Amino acid sequence: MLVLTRKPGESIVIGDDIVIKVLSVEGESIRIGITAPRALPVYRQELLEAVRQENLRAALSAEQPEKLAELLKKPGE
Amino acid sequence: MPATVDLKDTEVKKYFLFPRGLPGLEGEKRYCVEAIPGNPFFVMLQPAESGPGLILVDPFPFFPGYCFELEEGDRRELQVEKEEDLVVYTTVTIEGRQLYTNLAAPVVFNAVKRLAKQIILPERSDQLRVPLGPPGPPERDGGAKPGKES
Repeated sequence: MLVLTRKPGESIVIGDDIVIKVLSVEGESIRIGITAPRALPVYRQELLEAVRQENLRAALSAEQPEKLAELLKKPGE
Repeated sequence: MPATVDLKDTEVKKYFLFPRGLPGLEGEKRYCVEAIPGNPFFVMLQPAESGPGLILVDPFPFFPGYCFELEEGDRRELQVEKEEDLVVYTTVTIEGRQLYTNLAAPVVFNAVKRLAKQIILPERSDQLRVPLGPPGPPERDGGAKPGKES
């Protein structure tokens, strides 16, 4: 892993069109601004992890497809 | 949603390729999609059922206002030529006696090119697990909800 030290207001450039800027540091939180092409997905790592977990849950659920129709008839509690 | 596209197509083109796999199930890139008779669900299976499958549902009858923008990069990856070639399903989980679906990460299929991708929608990150009830009114949470904070 490449490690760089930056101060608020300073940036890192990745390739030709990605700029990551440290906007401010407030206690334990660091505000980061990202400039990247729209085609490039940028999201918090926790979201990707949450989707992973949800997919694994869905994979487990696929082992009991016979329950689906029955559960759908029951309005959500 | 156009119901004209048959995801099963021919035997030769039975499988969909997920060039990037699925988050959490990275090992497998090929899945076929089969309707589960008698209900609105689909099951997405790995070749020769070599690993876990996923249950999918067409989200639109349940959440009529559900919509999202497919980014240019995703369109390229899925080789989208016509909007009508696309089919969108969401994954389903069973927790006890309740069904949930994931509106934050829909699976988009290009039925013609046989390519598919799970799209992550940061603006819907609060809809990873939305209760799934019988289709139609009353409108449920997670339906017509415009994108907000990303």
